[in-house]
Amino acid sequence: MKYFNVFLTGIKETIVYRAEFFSGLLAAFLNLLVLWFAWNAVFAASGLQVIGGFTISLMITYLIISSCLRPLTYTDIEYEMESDVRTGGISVFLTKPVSYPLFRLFKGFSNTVFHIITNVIPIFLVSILLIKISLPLNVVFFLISVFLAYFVNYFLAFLTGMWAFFSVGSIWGIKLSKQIVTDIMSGAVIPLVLFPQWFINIANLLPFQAIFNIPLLIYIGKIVGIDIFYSFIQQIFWILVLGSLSYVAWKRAEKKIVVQGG
Amino acid sequence: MVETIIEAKNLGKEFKTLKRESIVKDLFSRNYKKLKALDKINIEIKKGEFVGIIGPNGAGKSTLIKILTGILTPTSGYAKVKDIIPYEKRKENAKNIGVVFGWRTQLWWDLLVKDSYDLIKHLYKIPEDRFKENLETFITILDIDKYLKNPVRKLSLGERVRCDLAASLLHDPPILFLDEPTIGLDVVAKQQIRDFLTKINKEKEVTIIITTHDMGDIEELCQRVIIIDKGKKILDGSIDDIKNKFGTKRVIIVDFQDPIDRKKLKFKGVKTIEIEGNRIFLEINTKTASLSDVIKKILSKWPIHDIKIEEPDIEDIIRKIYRDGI
Amino acid sequence: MFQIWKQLVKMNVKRWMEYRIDFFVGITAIFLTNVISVLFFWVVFQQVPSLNGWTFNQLLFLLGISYLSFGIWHTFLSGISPHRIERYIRNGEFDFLLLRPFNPMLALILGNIDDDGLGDLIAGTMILGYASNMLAISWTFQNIILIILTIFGAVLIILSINILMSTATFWIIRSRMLSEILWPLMRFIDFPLDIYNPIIIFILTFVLPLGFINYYPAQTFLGKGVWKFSAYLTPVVGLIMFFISYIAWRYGIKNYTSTGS
Repeated sequence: MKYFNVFLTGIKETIVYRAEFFSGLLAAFLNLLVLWFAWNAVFAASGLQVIGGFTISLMITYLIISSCLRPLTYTDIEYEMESDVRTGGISVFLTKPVSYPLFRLFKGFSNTVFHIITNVIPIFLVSILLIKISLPLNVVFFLISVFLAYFVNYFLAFLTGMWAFFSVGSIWGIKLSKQIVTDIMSGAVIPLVLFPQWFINIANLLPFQAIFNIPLLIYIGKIVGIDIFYSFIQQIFWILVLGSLSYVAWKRAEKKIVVQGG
Repeated sequence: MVETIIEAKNLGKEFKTLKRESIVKDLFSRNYKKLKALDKINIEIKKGEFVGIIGPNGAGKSTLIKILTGILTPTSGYAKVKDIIPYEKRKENAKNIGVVFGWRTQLWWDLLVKDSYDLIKHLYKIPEDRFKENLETFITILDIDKYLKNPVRKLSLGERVRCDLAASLLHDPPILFLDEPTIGLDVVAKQQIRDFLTKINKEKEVTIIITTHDMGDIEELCQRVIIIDKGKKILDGSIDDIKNKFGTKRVIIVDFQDPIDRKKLKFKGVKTIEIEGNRIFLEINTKTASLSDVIKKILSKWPIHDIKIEEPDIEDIIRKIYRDGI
Repeated sequence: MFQIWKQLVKMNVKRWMEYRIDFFVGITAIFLTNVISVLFFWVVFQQVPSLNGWTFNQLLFLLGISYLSFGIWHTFLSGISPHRIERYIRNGEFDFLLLRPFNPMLALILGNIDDDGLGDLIAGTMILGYASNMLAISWTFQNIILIILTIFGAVLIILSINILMSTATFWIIRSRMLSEILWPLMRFIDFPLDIYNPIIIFILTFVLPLGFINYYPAQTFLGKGVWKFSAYLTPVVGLIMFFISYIAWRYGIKNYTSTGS
């Protein structure tokens, strides 16, 4: 009964925030609207049915799903880490038998889940019903790649958050920069395949495309068969690399805190 | 004839607040309930007075101050500060008043104190020599020279209130409003501020209105006290008036030479409240017994070392008034 | 009054230099946000020669006017925002604004200079400069006056919309959501309005006149279509919008002082 009350309180709180809940959705919808018109104009201007391997409907699907995947990257962990440093709460973690990166992982995950429920599912349902976008050909593989993408992004965010430990400044600018670079280099805003080859080559060497590009291409069926597993390996590779870097950074930070006393 | 500098006539303020019922009901209809924060307040304050406004929390003190400073409009009656209606001519009124809120600084958080003062000089168009003169005076009395180069956000509470006080008076306003200025301060800081306020009230004839919960402030600073409760003015008079009217219980401390049996002290209207060896604390109800009569009786009956008459505790008096009304 | 503004600028610069890393990082981050639409056009024009009759440089010109105007607003005039008004009301600072012998709207607008806006300003200038160079626009005296008026009007439009959104805070305290919608709305004018359907064009012209920020003025400069004199409309629209927002603001303050906080 107690937990039911907690649930009720949560609902009440959500209603209080209902306007803000809608604004996030509205903003995403407006963005998609602009892109819908823009790409239609592009296809019309080109006179082609297919640009870069995309038909107009495939492009729209791509952009909608990209919009749905965005909440994956909504982690506030950078801000929480910054506040941990500022308030000194970070020292508390040193006394507990808990790994800080893992703690932040689970805490951040609940935030993500909330965003998925409030933002993604509505967009997704609306898109399927109204615009009739196609469902993924490989649902299972798609979900696996999304799952892996989450971790790639998480460790990237963690490293970004580490900035708070090693510099005096605020984290806001770095986080925004990271987000934009991710948006561009991951194909979230413009499919990577449309960029010149040299750009694609650089992007392939970076972890960002493991966050959006891979899941998106799996969804629309541009990555099939054995290539899917190759993509998974890429994602896992980045998880390991970024994860280790995070661990190393955390250890370094730990030492610094112990020496400086928080 | 000293001019009336602040006037409130039948001042009333009613708030409409949403009655929050269940979520579902709220979606369909809005129910308002009316809250009377001020009810027919009539006050006249003359130039140079030092008035304390006290009352229990939620009594309407802040509402009154907000109307007088121009940031709230009344729903009935009117108020005039130096012949200007503050909530109608806000900018003009601002030039005539200084304001210090104990809980929030008026200085710019990120700036150095002296930069804030410079900004004020420009905002109020204070002539340079007047500005320098005032600043010098305030720096000396309030002892804030060492904080001038600090950012405001780095000041402690006591330092900040002192800097705020200086800031509020740079433009030589004839009226100063203080809302809980000594809250949270230590004894030394409180005394500094009280001394400062007394000085400018006497020397510069600044009319000062102070709201406070600190009785020490009231006793030391105010000649006149206005008590507001539930939006109504329930008392308006000098401290002595209040003590005489309401100070019905006086305590005397008698140091007897020899031990005394307390039963012998059972006079009418006299109660023994504490015994420390030969020292006896007696509480006398001045409604039923005369203070001088009781003392005469004690002196005539027993040899004593010393007698002390305690001043009526204004705090107790006020507390009783809050509790029981007039 | 100008003295006060100079003082504030000095003090702000002092503060930025104190946190130099934040200063540069912030500007860079904001600068990057302007890159996305440029990249979009760059990528798209690998595939198509023109978009709805607009060439690459013409589109950059469109972006440039918008971003430059936005940058000016962001840096110098963004003091009134729903976020800030809400914060001031909550922590009581708004009352202090009213206690000063100074117009509160002016105090807010002029008193808050945002160094981050320099990222928008620099990006906008670069894009506009590059585009007008590539388009070989002749900067005759008339054109110079025109561009100044255009940007003046565009800045006023942006300012007015922000004031209107902020005014909503006086009635509905949690109006932060409104500013969240502003960013995607501004994205609409990254593209020439003719790509949209008539309803949207109508909204962006007569309801929320964002079109006058860059689309209509661009028509004049680029010699496009029937709207030869549309650039002159922009400052007019700007002034009208500002007038409306000022009235709304006054109304909002009246409401605030009668309901307290």
